[in-house]
Amino acid sequence: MTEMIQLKQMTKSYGSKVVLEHIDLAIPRGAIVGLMGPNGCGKTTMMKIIAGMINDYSGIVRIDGQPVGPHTKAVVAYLPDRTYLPQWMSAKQAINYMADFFKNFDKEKALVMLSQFQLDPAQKVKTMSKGMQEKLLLLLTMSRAAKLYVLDEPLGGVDPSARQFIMDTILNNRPEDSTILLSTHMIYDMERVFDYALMIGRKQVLLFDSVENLEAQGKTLNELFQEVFPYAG
Amino acid sequence: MLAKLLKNEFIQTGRMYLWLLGIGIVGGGLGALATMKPGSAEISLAQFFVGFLWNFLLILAASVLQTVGLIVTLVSTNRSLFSERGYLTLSLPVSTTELLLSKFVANVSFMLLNIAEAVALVYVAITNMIRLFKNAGDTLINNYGMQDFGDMFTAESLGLPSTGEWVRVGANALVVVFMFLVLAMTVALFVLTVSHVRPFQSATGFWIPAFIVACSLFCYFAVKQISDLLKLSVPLRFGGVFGDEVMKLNMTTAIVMVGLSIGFFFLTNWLMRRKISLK
Repeated sequence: MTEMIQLKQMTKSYGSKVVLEHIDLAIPRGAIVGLMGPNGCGKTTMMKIIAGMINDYSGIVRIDGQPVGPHTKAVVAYLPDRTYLPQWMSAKQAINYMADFFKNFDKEKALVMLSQFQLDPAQKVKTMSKGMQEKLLLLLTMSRAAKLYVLDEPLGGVDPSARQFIMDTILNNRPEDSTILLSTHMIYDMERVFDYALMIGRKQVLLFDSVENLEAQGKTLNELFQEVFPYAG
Repeated sequence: MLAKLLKNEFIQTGRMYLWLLGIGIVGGGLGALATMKPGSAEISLAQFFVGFLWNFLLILAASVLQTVGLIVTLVSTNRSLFSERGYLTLSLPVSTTELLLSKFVANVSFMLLNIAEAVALVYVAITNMIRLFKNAGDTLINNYGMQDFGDMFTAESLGLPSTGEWVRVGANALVVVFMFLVLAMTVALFVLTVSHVRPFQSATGFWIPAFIVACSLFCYFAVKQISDLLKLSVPLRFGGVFGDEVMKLNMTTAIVMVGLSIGFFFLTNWLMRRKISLK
């Protein structure tokens, strides 16, 4: 079995509104996959399902060959699009908390990254700026030697230099054989990084192919995105 | 993993309850100070009223602290499971059973501690008041020769229970309260979970309290009807704690309450595993 993520006939709806319908998808191990699509197309929903934040879907979802549960949560490092740490926690306490629960959490690495990010270990989350909180969450995620990283818009709302810094952090800290599923709207910036492009919209997977194959067609990801989502602007 | 969850839950819940428990201890201490008789000097009218008012407020505070404790517990549980912090909690490599169990144990433990403190506070406030009345009585007798009037202020004439009786009644109350607390907490966890499951996820205002009332009524009638049906009238006895008429708990009622608690727990667990959709 070579798939890290396997979805079979997966459907998710919010009330009467179907967001993802009969999705079939197999993402290979070790790949860096760019998840793209217009706003509201179900990118975050798909990531939440994979990370175990949403359970009320139909169909089959398997991560590392297992249904979503404690086992998959142990191997998936999830970075949501929001801050989730308790306000009273300090950066050091957050690191200790993660080290307590995740066997694959490298505390030493986290402390080194903390210093690289110029964050004060004693500083409480409530006194941190949004940017500092995002850095802390990123280092907590990337300090894990996970099999799968699910990163929901880690580049959203940051300036170009910070964008480069975040991407370097992600790429330099992940284990060689790990899989990354990263959602972004920064297609132009990320094109060189992705192994696979996954475009979802209109409740379906509209495109899933290796960037190599797509480039062989003589088109950039950005151009393909415009073709697949002509209405997306 | 359960041990780690429990450790973290006790730390997090303890942080909140530290304030409540601290307020109670400081309030009780100040109440004792306010009613102390300064040497052999007579107790003034102002001292009597300040001491009386403070200890009366202490009794009120005991019930307010319970309400605050309950609200804080529910809000915190809701936040840690279903709000933004839920993204951290639900990403942990633990089963939903372990997650719910740790919340349940930590919440019930601290609520019980809070109630125990409230019982102690009421005891302290009442003994403070008795001392205050006694001091007032002594002042009336010694300084003004009002023997008959002063006698009215003694503990004996007020007919208040002894310390031993207070401890026994308090212990009885805590055991009964514990049984109710177990059921109340499982119902609370159930209601919180249901409110984050479709189609109730967008329910607000009237519906959540209405659902809480409906669940409470269901529990009340289930406990009453099943107890009446089985008609097993065996009073519980815990080392002599239950043996008199004070807050006696029927064995059948206790069993039905435990059964309902287990039922609600498993239902909540199922919802958490199958139906949760974090916003």
